[in-house]
Amino acid sequence: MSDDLFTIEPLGEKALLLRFGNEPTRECFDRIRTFEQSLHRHAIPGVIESAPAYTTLAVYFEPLVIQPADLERLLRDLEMGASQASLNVPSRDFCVPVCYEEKFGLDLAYVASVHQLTTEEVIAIHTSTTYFVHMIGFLPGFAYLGGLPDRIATPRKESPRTRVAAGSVGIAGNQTGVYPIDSPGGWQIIGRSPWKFFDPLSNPPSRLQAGDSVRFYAISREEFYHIQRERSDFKDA
Amino acid sequence: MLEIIRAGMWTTIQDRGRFQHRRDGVVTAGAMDEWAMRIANLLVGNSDSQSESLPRLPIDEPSAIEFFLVGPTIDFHSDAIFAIYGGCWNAFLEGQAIRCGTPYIARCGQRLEVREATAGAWGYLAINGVIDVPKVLGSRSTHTRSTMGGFQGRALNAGDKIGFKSNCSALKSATNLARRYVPWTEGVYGTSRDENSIDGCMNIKSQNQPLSSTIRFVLGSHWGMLDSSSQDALTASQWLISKKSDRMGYRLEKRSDSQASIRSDSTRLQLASPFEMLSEPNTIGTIQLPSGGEPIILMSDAATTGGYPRLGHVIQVDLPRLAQQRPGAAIQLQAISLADAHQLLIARERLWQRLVYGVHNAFRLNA
Repeated sequence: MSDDLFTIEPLGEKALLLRFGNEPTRECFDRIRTFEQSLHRHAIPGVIESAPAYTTLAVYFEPLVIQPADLERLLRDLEMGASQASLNVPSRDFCVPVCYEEKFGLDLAYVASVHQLTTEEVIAIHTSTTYFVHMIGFLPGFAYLGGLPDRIATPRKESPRTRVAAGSVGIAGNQTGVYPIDSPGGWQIIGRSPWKFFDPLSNPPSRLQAGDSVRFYAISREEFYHIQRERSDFKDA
Repeated sequence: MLEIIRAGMWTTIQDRGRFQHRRDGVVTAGAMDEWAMRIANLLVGNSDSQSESLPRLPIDEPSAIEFFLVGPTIDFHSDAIFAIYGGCWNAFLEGQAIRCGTPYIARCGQRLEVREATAGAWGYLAINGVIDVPKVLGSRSTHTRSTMGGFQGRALNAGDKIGFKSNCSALKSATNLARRYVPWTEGVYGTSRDENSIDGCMNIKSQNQPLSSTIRFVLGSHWGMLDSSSQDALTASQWLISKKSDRMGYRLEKRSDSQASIRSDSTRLQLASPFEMLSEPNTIGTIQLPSGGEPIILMSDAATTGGYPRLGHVIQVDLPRLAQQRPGAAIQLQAISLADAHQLLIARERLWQRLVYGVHNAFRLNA
């Protein structure tokens, strides 16, 4: 690879995929966000939106308004400015309540047994780590959280559940995340949060955003229902 | 207002889709056959937002009621101009057979019955004016999985009452409209095999002509990782649209003469070497390869990101035709260059402009 900040691949006719590296590191993430910042500032006609993933940024465009070759050139122009710019995106810290009790933590005992830990130890490990939101995808508002300690990393379930409730906190490999809406899913479910993570009537609709930091803390079932009743959704962020 | 009497299958309200929120994982949804949805709207006098020549109708983004294989039965509780487009349908207004691709006037109290599709898979019922459901994140498209948009975020059921705001001046002259449109729509249902004709680049078969089943694609990021026999297999063989297909994706199965060899491993596509990939963005039309070795083509309700290799992307002008292939239908995949795909897209847009011009003229003559 040359000194370029990113390589460009076509993603069909209406998107370009910018690749900023191969490893999902914090540095790679910051490069993506810095570049995206200047992309937003310049509001290129014909560009519909951009969406970051672990090491890539998709730039969706309308080919009847801007030709892919022209867009590539403009992106390269932006790159020159972006490489000197500094990241100016607020990173937010969230403390997310999770009830790990058996009623919600359907696979907690299984995860503990796989690693020969007690369920208390799994909870202690899960709550003692700060996770980083790499990207939102898979489902509306689903945050891919990096940083899960290897000690509790657990493969997905062999056969996915047909319905995982909104708020369920899961583990898949060395990722952890919260299901924002009811959905089929194969992650090991270790608890549930009373928060609402996705609300189409809010803007942005996803409570967690790429770049945010997340810590979990354990709550009782009573607290879970209390928070759920009292929640004013995004306003208590 | 209209009332759903029988829902039909997977009947939802769809527009062109929900954009600018993919970074939040918001699925774009939108019409499976966007081209047909737009034409249905054109036929009832709803303009695309960018059109200038039409007398301003109170509409922004066209939307329609979408249905799959079996259409809905609907009672109109007020006068309306409507048209059905996309596929061919056995449809009746007050028991009288009606044609697809032609606008009709439904009077208050009349019943529209859309039965089964005789060709194609997805149909669109457009109504002059605006389907009166709130926009969510800028769109009226229904995404049932996240219960977002459309009518209460779900598929339509018997008993649902949906408001629409008609355009009165259009209605005033509407009696003549249908008659005037017929000669024009004859062209739509003609027998031209020209790729750029409305028949050719659309899903629609005319009475006897089957849909072309060759679906073109441009190469994706991981095409080169397929072993060479798998590269050949993807394009040389016939694929069947699986019955497990839906708005999220069309699953492809290998066609085989003998039932026994359908599941043989030799028919599975393989990467030259195993490859773990991080989740990356997807688009509608992405041909992805799950570990089972049978490709899935992502459709309107696909997740915004995915962790499977991307072999290619079905080109924009072929997406409607792909969508209109029924479960069980056979298709072939053909690779073309990105530049060719772009040219085809421009040609289709030119065709669209011609259609808009023609229809708007007809409207002006009747205004």
